[in-house]
Amino acid sequence: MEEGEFSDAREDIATLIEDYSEIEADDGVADETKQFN
Amino acid sequence: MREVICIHIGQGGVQVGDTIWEQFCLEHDIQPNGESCKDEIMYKKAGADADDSFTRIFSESSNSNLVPRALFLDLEPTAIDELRTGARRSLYEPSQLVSGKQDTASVFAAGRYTAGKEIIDTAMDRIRTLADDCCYLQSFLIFNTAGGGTGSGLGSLLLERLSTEYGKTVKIGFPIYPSSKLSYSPTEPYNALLASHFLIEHQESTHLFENEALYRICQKKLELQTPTLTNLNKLISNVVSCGTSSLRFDGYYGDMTEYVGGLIPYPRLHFNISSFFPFCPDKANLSHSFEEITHGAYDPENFVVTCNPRYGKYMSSTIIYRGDFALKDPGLLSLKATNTVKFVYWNPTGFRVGIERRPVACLHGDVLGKGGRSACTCSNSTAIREVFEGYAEGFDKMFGKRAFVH
Repeated sequence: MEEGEFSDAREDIATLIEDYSEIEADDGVADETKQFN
Repeated sequence: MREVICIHIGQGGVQVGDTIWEQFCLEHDIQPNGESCKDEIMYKKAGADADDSFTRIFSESSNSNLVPRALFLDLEPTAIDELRTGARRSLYEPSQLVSGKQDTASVFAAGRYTAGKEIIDTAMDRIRTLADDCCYLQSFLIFNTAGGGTGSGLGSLLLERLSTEYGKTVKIGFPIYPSSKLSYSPTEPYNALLASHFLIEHQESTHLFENEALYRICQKKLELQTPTLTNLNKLISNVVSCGTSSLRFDGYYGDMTEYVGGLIPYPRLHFNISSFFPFCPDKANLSHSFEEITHGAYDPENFVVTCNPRYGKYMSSTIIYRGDFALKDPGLLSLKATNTVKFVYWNPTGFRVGIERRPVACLHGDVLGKGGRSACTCSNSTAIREVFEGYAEGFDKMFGKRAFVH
């Protein structure tokens, strides 16, 4: 397997986590609850 | 008829699959050899109101026996050989049991590339045969482990092929994730992350199970200090049975696309958290009220994934009751009043309720309480983020050192 396949998957998961965080924070909840990775 | 095909991949997927079919048989009155318990196997011809919902998951063979619409697939023969000689050996047809002769040694690449490549065409042929037998195939249910080499590697290869050939058929996954703290093999964090990458792309709805949470439920709720795989599989089977009620019996959702559309507002964010209540030992007295069951089903202790949705927001949630219930839901109202379940502002009424009067069947030797009232939930919550953060961390630790990257 190419190393790129590992980093692609890792990036995809990072985006997923970010998307969930954005939705969680998206109604005026204080900024400190945001956890972006 | 809206048929469903189950695909069980890898040792874990195959073993849990056999347990699930034991339960499906019990719930649809079918004996372990495929004979219907009802006198007249063709009773569905008797009248329009006869219950023929079993034909969604069973097909009829030439000798009138019922055969699961299922494929069992593994790269090594042990788990599938157990099915070939086990209690349901005459339920499955030989063509449904596909095994190779190699072991992936828990390596994703072996499952996806080397060993997987040799078996994938046979597997797809068998799936085509199963699909050709359906009038209107509505979905694939896919069972695998995300930590195993076959479950993750071959699982992702198969998903890709299904997407190409059956792009419009809804693919619903029930992956079993490894514990992020305690693992069977050092490659599990890689496998779990790589598998997730393909689940994001190729499944429409994914219902996670996590080993750690299942162990916790066995120990805390079922008083089993050293849970066996059989215990875990039965637990999974109970949740799957409840969660798939509306697919297998006369459903509350017209169509899977509609169901998935209601549960999943954003296509990529389709990782659902399931729960079940009551998880309690056989000897316990089961007489829970509607409200107790509703609250129990939303208690984080009863989730099959380690995360706490009380800290996140729900995008949608479905609760399915099994057993003797009437469709009045004071339980749901009180749940909202106590703020146990917090929804995103753009979908404040994302609740769906289903009731199936038939209780969840009790498996042979099961420690779970006998067929009383129960409920399961399936929620799309942002709290699932915690779970992926755990796997990402495990992955980073190894990838930082380029461990097992060949």
